[in-house]
Amino acid sequence: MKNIIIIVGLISGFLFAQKSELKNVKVLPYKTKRELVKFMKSVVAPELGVKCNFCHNMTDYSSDEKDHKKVARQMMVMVQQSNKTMNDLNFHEISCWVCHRGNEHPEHPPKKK
Amino acid sequence: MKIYIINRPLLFIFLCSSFLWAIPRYAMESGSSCILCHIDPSGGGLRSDYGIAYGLDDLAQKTPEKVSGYSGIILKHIQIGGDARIQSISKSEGDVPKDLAVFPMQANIQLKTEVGKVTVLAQLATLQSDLGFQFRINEFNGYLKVGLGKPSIGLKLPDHTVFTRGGNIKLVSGSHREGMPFRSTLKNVPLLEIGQYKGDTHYSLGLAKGYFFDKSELFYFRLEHFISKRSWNQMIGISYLKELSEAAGLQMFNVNGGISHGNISWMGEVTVADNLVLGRSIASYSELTWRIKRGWNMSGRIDFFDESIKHTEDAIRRTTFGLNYVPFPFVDIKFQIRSSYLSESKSSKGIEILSQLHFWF
Repeated sequence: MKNIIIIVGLISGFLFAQKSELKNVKVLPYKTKRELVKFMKSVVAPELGVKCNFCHNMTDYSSDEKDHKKVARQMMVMVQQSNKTMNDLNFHEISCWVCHRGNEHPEHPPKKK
Repeated sequence: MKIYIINRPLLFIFLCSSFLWAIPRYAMESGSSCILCHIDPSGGGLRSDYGIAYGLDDLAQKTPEKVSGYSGIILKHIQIGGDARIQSISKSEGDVPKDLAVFPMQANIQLKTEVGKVTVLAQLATLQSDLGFQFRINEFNGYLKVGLGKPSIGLKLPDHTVFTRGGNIKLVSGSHREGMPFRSTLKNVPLLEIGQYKGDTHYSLGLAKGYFFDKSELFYFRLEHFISKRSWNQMIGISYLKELSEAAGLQMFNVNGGISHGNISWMGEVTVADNLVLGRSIASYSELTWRIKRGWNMSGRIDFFDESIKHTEDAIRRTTFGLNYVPFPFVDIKFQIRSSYLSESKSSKGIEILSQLHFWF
């Protein structure tokens, strides 16, 4: 019985499974999962001081159900546009760190009275 | 020095010694549950994209360019992975090495595919001829899992008194059990499990049939919470398991946790079981690890198992020191020195030297 279940599962996988490729990646330029994971792990998570579950559904990383992910996508668009300007000015590119400094939300200066 | 390569009773003990092979320390240091690195939410086995990247970027001392793009994907639809472990144990009497055993511990193949929100995962433990299979629906930041598997409680170490996960070279007279009942000889059974992730908290609960005893159903529950503040990562978890048939009456309660800061981490676990043998049993595990540099770890561990707290002569305590080296991705080498103290004979069993070679992909 076990063998039948496994064989049926595998055949179903071959016939119906979706391709293992990047899903729902709309802004970032990466072509492979490895590049994407490396960017998230080494840039986004430490520069915001968060873990994957801050933005992602842990059982489906491609899902947009968390608002933080939608905001993060817009933030990345903002950074990309800023970097176009930075390149035009021949300045260094920026990243999340410029504002976030390892915090979920950037710190703001105290309000002037 | 007497050398025996394959000895049948020994083989029985060791070949069947793969329960779950997750390394919960990695989960704690990453501040996330097992699913961060493994396809199976219960941990162990096939790695996720993050797990593969973690193996390439964080575990290995060097990552050759040729394997830096490895993803485990074949035929665009199927991800394949595997684990193989070979272990040796030598015993010594005084300063003289006496016996050496070399044996395969694990040779598992895993396959995964996805259809929409459904994940299908299959595993074949070739040495045990044991098939595992799970059909998982991922929804509401959680999952519903059905298939053939093992109940998930605690840190999911094979038991509390192994170091390189191979048990002891000989069963101890008067104490046939050297750990809680999650012995690796137990095969996958039908189970139904649900789990959910709420922020840094993960819980799962399920029902399994025929795992410890034929035709007996058991209920299990597991809760874990991760706390990360600056460079500190902490984890705390509780688990509970109960055999539902009155005849068996086994129930287990488990508390586990850990803390890491910089290159140092500690993990510990205490499990209390009723009706495992006679009355109440207790097992504990405590491990301190120092990450010397990337690819090199040194650790010390104390395991304790008392089969029945009513009797003082059936407890075993093991103290172990070890070095773990990951020269390249997918290769893990362990060297350990272990001493065991038996309360029955009030004596040490001598020094055991263990080594293990682990390949995975």
